[in-house]
Amino acid sequence: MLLHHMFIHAAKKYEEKLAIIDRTLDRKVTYGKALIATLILSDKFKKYDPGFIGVMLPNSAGSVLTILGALMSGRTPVMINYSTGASQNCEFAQKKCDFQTIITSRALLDKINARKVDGMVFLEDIMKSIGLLDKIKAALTAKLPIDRLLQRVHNGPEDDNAVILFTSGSEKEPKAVQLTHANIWANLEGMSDIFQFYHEDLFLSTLPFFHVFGLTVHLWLPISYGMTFVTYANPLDFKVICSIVREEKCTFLVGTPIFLWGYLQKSERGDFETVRIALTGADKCPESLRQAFIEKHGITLLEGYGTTETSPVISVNTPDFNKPGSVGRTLKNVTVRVENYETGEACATGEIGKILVKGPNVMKGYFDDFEQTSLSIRHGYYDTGDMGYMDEDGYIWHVGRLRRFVKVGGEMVSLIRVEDTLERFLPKGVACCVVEVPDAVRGSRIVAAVTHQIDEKATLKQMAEHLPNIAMPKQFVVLDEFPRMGSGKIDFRKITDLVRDAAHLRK
Amino acid sequence: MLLHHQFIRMARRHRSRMAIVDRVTNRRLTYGRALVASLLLSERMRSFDEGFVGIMLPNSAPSILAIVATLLSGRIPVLINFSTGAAQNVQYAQQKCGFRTVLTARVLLEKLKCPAMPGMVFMEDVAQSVSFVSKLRGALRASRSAEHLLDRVAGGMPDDTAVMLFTSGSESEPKAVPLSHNNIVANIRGVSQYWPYSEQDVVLANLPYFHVFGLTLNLWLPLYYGMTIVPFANPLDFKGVCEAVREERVVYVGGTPSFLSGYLEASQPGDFSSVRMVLTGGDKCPEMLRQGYRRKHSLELHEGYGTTETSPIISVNVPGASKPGSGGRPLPNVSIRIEDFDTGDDCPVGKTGKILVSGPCVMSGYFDDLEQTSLSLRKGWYDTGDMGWMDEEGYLWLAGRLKRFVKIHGEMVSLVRVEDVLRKCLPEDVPCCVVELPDALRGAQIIAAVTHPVDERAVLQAMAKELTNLQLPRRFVVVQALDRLGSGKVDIRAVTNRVRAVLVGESS
Repeated sequence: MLLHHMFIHAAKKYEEKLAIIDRTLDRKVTYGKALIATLILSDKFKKYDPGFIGVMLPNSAGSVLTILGALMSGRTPVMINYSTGASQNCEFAQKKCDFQTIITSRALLDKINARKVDGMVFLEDIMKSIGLLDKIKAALTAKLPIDRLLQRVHNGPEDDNAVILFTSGSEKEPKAVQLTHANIWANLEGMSDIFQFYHEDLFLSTLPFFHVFGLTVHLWLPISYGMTFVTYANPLDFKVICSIVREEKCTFLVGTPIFLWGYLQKSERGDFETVRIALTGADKCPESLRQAFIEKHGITLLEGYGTTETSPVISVNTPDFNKPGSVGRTLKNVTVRVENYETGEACATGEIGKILVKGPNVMKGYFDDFEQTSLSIRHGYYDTGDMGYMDEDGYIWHVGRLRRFVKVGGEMVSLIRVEDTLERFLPKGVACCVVEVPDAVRGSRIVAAVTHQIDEKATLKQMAEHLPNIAMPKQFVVLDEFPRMGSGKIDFRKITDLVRDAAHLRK
Repeated sequence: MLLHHQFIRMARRHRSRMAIVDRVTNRRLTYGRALVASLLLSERMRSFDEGFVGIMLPNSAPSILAIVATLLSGRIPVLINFSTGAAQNVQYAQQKCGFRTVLTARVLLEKLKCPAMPGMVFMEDVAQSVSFVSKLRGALRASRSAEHLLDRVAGGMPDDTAVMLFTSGSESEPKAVPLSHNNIVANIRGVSQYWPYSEQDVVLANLPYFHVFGLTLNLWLPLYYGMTIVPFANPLDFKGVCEAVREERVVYVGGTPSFLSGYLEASQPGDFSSVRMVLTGGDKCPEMLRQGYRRKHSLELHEGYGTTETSPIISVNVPGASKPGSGGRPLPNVSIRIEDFDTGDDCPVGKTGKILVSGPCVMSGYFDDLEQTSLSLRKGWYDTGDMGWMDEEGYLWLAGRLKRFVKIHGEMVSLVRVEDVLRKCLPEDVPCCVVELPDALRGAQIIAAVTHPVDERAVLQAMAKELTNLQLPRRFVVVQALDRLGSGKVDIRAVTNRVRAVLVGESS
């Protein structure tokens, strides 16, 4: 089913029910109203070029309606990240996908101090241009029986693109990922197979829609069940978010570990009383965070694993099948293959290798980039670039990005493992990040960045009991603060650059 | 076998044979003297940091000696391209590979208007600092037997890295490609099984050493067999190249079709009378160029195909086994697999697919980049990113970079093929380039960039005889010029930007 058709089904079924509670603008939109609004927007969008339409908006009623309106008008939304250089990302997207129009808002540009880019259209202006006639027309259309209503909006094969998303591009140029209606649909189905969702559930929708997780889990999933979802633009507003969860009685909470830390600290006991399920992913969930959530809120954090290219969920722990530390078992419609990094042979149970994924949620390919597509998808398997292993019960254990592995003297070493070991022996309050510096002779030299001067000798001695010699850090570098990305993840590239400079000076 | 050890063996065996004829500095070095010079230089390099040493020098006697000496001193040369932003490339290489020292020359920096940078060491200073005593010592050492000498210079394993090169990176960040002694030796041996080289041959070294073709074919191949190298710094100095070929009695010439067409124009009949073999590659060889060489110099052009990651030659046409227009047959120690783009299955003879290569010339992986390595190199097969097909007789026919393919309504269309047909249908003086603009609905839009207005209807009608409707350009766009890369190839990216600018200008 096309995603916007799915929305229309929900809207007809739950007409009077609240669809969106926009806590940024304090607006409430019922499914019925949302349908009328999207019909109007869809009409407005038809005057723009067919094909792609950029969407750069924070999570809000406006962004939900814009994405739906774009699809109903037959346009494909290209979601643009405004947190990492808005104007630059707009121009990159326009060029990469060759389109002009970008729906955004003046309020956003003001807030993030971004420059206006040619082709931008402001939602504020579109709203102003809506006349009584538009409203009457849309209201009448919305009243049509569902079959006739569906004929009024865009129709097409499920294999058409439903969205273009950009990979984070922390290392390289962002890639334009094409996800089809069928891709996202398959992932919703896969999730529904293992979680019990009800239309009475209430989603907190704070993960940005320009990231795949936000888009699938915070937009399409609630819509597919006719749930009410609460949008809030800034996921870093920890205190506000805690009160939203309490006041709106949210039942689902999803966030990266770093966000969840923030929520934990700013929340009072009882704030999360209504939360039924809390998911986390995108980064390793520290044991201490898991424990703290159980202690303070009685909530078990469930870790999952996904990528932009897989729409996104590959595997996830559930209340019934949960192994803390693992990223859970694969969705039923997803196949995972773990293969040896060098030989390409399938790995045995427990053996670490590259994670490949096959299933209906795997993207069609990178837009306009056969070369990258053909390198990343072979024989239907998408190469995640992640390393991990599967245990005898079918749980996947994520060991880290392949780029967080290095070859030292011909041996594969996981920097994450070195980091985990180091972490155990650091004084409280000292953070660490283990990176590598290229070395002509050995291939790589392992260097540990720490936030404070430490007793290196003592630490190394302790580490040596747990790590082979080749995996020991050869050097410590003190950095006052670790640079982070918009998502809250540590920016390894920046740290690596800083460490390489520092390591160089001392050499 | 280690490359620098082979050089020593050759130098001891052919002491008085000419190794390098440097026409710029007017230096002629016999193998004996080249050995002394490289040993002295390697002594000097022992004060450098261990590991990598950057080398940024134009083709010349000093650059050859520097590369050899780096290996003799137990260090690994990282060759830096100075034609595409020297300062930036130096910094990139230092950062990427984690080293400081870059051997370069003041004259070069002046010419490039590149500032002196931290870590740079100048050939001018290094040469001056060599004292009389050390020269004497060097000469004495060089007079020892080859075996004795081999014990005194850096050893190592054949799988050790012999050089670090960077891919051109026209689309993405340049990747660092380490090639081992074994890789390069395998390629030299593979090539020589097809080509009867003679030790007396003179090789023109006009291809820059920071590119793999220059490094293997214009430096290590001649040194491996004890031939004479005529280094030439500027391959675009067409007249100068022709003079060098004539006066030094050069036997081997190589170049991209664009270089060769410059040489053809600048040469007089007779200039190439000593030449036995002309190798070309890197771009399609136009029929006109082939005929031009036949007419003026009675020479056949032989096309070959290779990549940085394969040290470089994969396949080549040779006298007696040549099909003009093809990329030739794979070297005896190279295997080629053509794989279906969508399914990954083997393609039958005649069917276009992705070209994968395996053999001892294939790199072990990109330096310090396991992720890219694991994408490009699987089960020993290197994915070239090129498309092509094999004919019944085992010749490889190239269909262009995968980047130069587009999918329109689900069908793969080769822009290179569209361009070939277009070229035939255009007046002779109108250069063209076929590019694509992404299109949300169709996947891509084919656009013909031409430098002059043409009768579009007539051209399209002529093209329709050879192409399906889907493959015809949707539009013609007149651009001021077709941009070119340093190698002489058309810069597709720049032309695409021009086309885009014209179309945006039209629509606003």
